[in-house]
Amino acid sequence: MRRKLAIPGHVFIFLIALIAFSAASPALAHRLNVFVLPEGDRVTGEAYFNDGAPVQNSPIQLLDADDKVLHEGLTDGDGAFSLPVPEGVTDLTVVVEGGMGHRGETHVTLSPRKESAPVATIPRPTSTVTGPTAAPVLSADDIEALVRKVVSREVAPLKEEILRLNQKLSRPGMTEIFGGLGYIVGLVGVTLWAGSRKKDG
Amino acid sequence: MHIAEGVLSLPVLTTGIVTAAAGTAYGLRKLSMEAIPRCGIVSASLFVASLIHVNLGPSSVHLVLNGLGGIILGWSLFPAYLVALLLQAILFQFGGLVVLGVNTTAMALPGVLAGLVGRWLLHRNVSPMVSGFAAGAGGVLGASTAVAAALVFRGEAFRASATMLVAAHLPVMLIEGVVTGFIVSFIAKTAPHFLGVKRS
Repeated sequence: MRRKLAIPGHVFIFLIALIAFSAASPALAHRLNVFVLPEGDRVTGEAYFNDGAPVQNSPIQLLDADDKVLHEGLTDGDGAFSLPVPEGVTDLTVVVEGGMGHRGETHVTLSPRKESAPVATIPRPTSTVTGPTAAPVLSADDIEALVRKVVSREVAPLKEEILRLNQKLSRPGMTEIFGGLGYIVGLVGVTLWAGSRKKDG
Repeated sequence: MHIAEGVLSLPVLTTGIVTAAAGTAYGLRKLSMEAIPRCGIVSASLFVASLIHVNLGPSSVHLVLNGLGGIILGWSLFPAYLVALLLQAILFQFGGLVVLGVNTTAMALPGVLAGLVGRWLLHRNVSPMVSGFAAGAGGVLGASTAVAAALVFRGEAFRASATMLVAAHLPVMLIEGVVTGFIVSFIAKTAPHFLGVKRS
């Protein structure tokens, strides 16, 4: 009789699973991801919920290694932010509070910034073949700024890609879902087994 | 409605852990051998329930199913929730291990109470659809209030926070009520002893 009664349970979980998987594609709430990229003397990034929705106009904090608040701000309408990093700080934590108990944080380690460029004066090329070497000499700062601009332009699509990838990775996959269900089934089995041993002994 | 790690203060965390431990101990004591598979099934349902995702403006909400769990399991909902939330914390990084107690309490306690209301209604021969709706909607209402209460201590004004949470979950309450109503009607037809009808 008891075996017969177990059937509605199976039907029940099947129904639930059906609803779950038919609606599972748009992913999840209740996890807040913060994606941070160091960019020169700033950190920029995006904050988004697991379903990809941006965390809009939410307080954001920049903390150093000792949890001291360095900067505070708000994310914009797209969940993006850009905060200045004080000199000499290499270990950073970016914390975004989404309200209603939502919170996400990300640690970043910056490579120490080189203060004065080691080559303040650029050695003139000595093996100039022809022509005067009176070409405008760019200062180290100019070159750095130029390189930074070009690199950041070239890298922009890559960053987008990493962001998308991050968003995708932060969603639970089938492995996790079925793994979790497996744990529960196993736990029920263990409990039943322990209970039946107690009954027998 | 998971509260993230690092949001709550120590007293709230401790209260949550103590309440969840007490609830789980009591729930396990009340758990009979034949109810164990049922408990596992409910736990599995709670575990996947957060994947049913409803997009609502800037925020996102999902089915909670705590009222349904409460009406089926009674106090044994506590261990079921503990397992489901533990797995969600480990596998999905929802919530976290430190806030596990608070999250378990905030979900399971209103679920148990809403379930008791649902069972009480069933005993009074109210239709399973209505009883289920009351349990489902009540569970979500209670859970959002509990989350808001937990958040008070960190400066979010309770009224504003609670109003926002409850408002955001109004559609969920309706959906949840209807879903729970249907499932309870189904169970009432096929396995009424699941709902504790036999006991009284």
